[in-house]
Amino acid sequence: MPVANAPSALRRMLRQRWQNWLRRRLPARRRVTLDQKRIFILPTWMGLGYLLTALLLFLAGVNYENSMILNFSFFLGSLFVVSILQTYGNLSGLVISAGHAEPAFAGQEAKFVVHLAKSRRKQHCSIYCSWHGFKSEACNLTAVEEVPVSLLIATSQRGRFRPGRFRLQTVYPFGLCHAWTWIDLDMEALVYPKPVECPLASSQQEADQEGTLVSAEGQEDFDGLRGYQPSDSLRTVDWKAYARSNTLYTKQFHGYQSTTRWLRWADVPGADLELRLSHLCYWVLELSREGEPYGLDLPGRTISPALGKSHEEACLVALAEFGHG
Amino acid sequence: MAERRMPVFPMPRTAFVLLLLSVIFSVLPHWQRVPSWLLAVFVLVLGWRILVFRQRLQFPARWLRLLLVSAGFVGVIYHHGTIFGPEAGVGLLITAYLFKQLEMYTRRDALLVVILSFFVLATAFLFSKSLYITLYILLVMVLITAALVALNQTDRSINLWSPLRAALSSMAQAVPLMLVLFFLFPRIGPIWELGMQTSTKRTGLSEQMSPADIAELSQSSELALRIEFEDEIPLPRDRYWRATVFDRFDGRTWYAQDAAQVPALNRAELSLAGKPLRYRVYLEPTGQHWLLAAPLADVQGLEHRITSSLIYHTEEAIDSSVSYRVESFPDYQYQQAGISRLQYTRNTALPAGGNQRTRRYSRQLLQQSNGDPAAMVQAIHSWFFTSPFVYTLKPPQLGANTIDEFLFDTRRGFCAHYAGALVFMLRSVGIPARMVAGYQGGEPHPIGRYLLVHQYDAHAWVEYWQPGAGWVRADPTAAVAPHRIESGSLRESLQQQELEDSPFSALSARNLPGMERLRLLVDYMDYLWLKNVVTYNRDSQYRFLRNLMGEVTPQRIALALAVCGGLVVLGIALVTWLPQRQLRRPGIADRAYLRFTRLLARRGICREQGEGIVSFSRRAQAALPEQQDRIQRISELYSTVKYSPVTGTTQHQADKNDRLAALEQELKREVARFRP
Repeated sequence: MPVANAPSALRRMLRQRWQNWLRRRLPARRRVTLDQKRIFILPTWMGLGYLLTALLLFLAGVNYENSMILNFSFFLGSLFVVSILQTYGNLSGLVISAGHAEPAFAGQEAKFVVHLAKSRRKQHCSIYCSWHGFKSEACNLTAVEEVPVSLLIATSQRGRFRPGRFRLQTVYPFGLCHAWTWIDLDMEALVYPKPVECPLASSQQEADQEGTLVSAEGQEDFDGLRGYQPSDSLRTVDWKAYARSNTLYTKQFHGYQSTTRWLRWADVPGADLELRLSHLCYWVLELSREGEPYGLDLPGRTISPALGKSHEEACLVALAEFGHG
Repeated sequence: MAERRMPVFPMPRTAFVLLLLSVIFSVLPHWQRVPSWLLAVFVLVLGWRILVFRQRLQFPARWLRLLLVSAGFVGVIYHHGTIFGPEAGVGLLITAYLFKQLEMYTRRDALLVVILSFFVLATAFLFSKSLYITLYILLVMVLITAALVALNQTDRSINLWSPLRAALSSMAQAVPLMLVLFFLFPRIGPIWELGMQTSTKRTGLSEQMSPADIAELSQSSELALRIEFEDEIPLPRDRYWRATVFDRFDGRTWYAQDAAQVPALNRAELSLAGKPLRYRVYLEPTGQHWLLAAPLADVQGLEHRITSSLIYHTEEAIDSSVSYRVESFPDYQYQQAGISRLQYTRNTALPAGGNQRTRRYSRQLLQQSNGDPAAMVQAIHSWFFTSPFVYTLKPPQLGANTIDEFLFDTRRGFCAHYAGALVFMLRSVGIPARMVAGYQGGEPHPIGRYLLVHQYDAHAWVEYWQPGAGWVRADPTAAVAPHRIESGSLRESLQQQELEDSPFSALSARNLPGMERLRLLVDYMDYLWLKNVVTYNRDSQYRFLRNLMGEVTPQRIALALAVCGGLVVLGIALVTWLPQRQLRRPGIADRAYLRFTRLLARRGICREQGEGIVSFSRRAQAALPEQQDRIQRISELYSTVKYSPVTGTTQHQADKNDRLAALEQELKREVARFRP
């Protein structure tokens, strides 16, 4: 029905215009210093209530010809003006820079870290970041020069996820005015496919040269300890040793790499591209957990068999980026 | 049905404390105006609120809250007998405000309480506008504003001073803009009529007065009015400030004339002569409709009408401090040609019977005076002077024939007794006479050129009508207690034991030598405040603007407002946005490390924004392998100084501080030796 669609079409058009305007006015950057052209400010509902109180007192002052009540209302009005300037000042001069983004599986929350920093010797208090439904913890830049803020943003689709603009807002110090800005830090996070369980045909296993390859990162026979490296799985950390010495050690094992599995695109059933990726994702995780070496074979991308965290990540990245270049 | 317990939002402790103080101090100025049981409820409610905050108790259930607040409303309405008028209004407001304390589930509720606090606080100005209440209100505003800031603070580590400091600095920024608005914002007249009928019983002259009431007033050292003179302050015996006329007597009590019913003054019956006395009156709220002035006065600056009995009658009761300019002509003559029959009847009316001795004696005196009213008044004065009449504020009880008993038996009384007796005597022989009430005397202020007139200066005297002379003032009290009139001193007219109960008692704190000077100074400050700020109204604004800009036009006012307001806002903006001074000076370690980074920057190794110490150190070591060790050492030292955790006991802490200081010194030396 064109009649019913007209308002929504209009709304779409307006939204489009708004977004375009924002894009022109606030282009995406990795690092943004807030200045007057980026900050918007309006009274909050409480601010309107406060102004109403001031107005009532003004009327009372006029009608009772009571100069002190009149002055009281002038004072409330002046405090409101100060509140506008201070709430604005609480955002202005803030430097927001993109931090890292942590990937997530589709349907889970991706974590984006942004850094708030002072550009002047001035305090910033009670600043929130929000993105659609999510609202971060309050940030206070009083004693510290810089704070990281984590934004947990729900993902739905596999691929490269760009959250776009998020909001940085504050009502400090009085809660009467609400200052905010839209920031696009040009961040993106990878969204892995949502793991979906499926049987993997055993015929797809390929026998390798049996018992000859010694995997350095096997998990069967304990070899000894070595210093922990950030890429090591926490499962292999020797916690008892940690308790004794306060240093992280990784237990080293070796195993005989008896089989190598190939996770092949063609072997996953189904016609739905996303679902097939989800199945592959499931097996990447499953095999990593079990410590079996595996390779990934996707159309246009092949990852030779290996084990370990970086390998797992490479496979997940390949799955996430599949079809997205 | 189980009550659903709503979760209570976690209010910061600072906000809770400040909000509680705001509530207490906002209500405090009203404590005498609200019913006393409300104060008990107030304490209970706040106690409950504290227990909720400490999680010992829950907020009351909704039905209970509704019940409590309804009971409170009914109680307040019952107490005041009305829902109209400022007292009842403030009572209801405070009740609602109070019970809102028991419903603070969300941040919004708390913010609402803050806004209500502002409102409750502002209502204190309905009842007083003195300098001191203003200072008090300003202090409480700091508390309320700080509570508002604290509610918006999320940093749990801050203490109570932080919101207070923020509030003070914000308020200091708001004050200049407020002043601009106060002086320049166009004052408009009342938009609609609001009858402000206060039911407060005020100290002061009232419309219905038995002699005992004036005696009671003599016990009060409350200020009644201030009179600021342009020239010399008149002599004490000429300081008669006339308020109203008592012309109906029922045998015991004199009743004030209902000025609204009296016709207006006919200027043709008036003849003014002599040099006028120019002054300005600052009248404290009286709750009555009359203005105080010396007859015969031209009152400017306040709307009023003059009745034929020379009462300056205002439409609205004087319920707040007012000021008006007066030009008085002490040598006036009024109605010397004659008075109307109605006036004659009114001013000679007496109860039919009783007080026969007085009536007889009056007739005798009239005969001795050959029918001349002035001579008769003179004779009565001499009688009062020569016979053992005593001026006292504690007269004995009088029986049925009050005048007879007073004049011939007790002979003890004060101004109202003597004035009443004189009027009775004159009326009984057909001479029109009336009792006039007002204030007599006043205390010249040593600093300001003004008189302080207190309630104990309340006085009653007589006006009688004489053909050819018109209305003439007579003050029988002058014959009995000359000091009272000649030096304006009630103190010297009183006997010793009476003094002790009066405001002049040596035991009273206000009469200690130091206190007296302090009292006068306090009054002077308040007078300046009243004169320059409180009474600033449309007229004074017009005069102020005319001095400022010559011709006053709306465009010019708007321009002045815009320019001044704009400048002030710009100033605030600069103060707000300029970098705040650094609270911590950069320490030795920071300065040394900064020097280190600068030295490296000269070699083209710049520390990136947000780059950690370790990664920067690695980069620098890679770039300058020959300095590797020193760079490593400097970085280690700096990160130890900066990031070593602060824990442990005080003793540990002290040790560690020493160790850190040593490390800082080492860092400084290392940097000094560093030559990339």
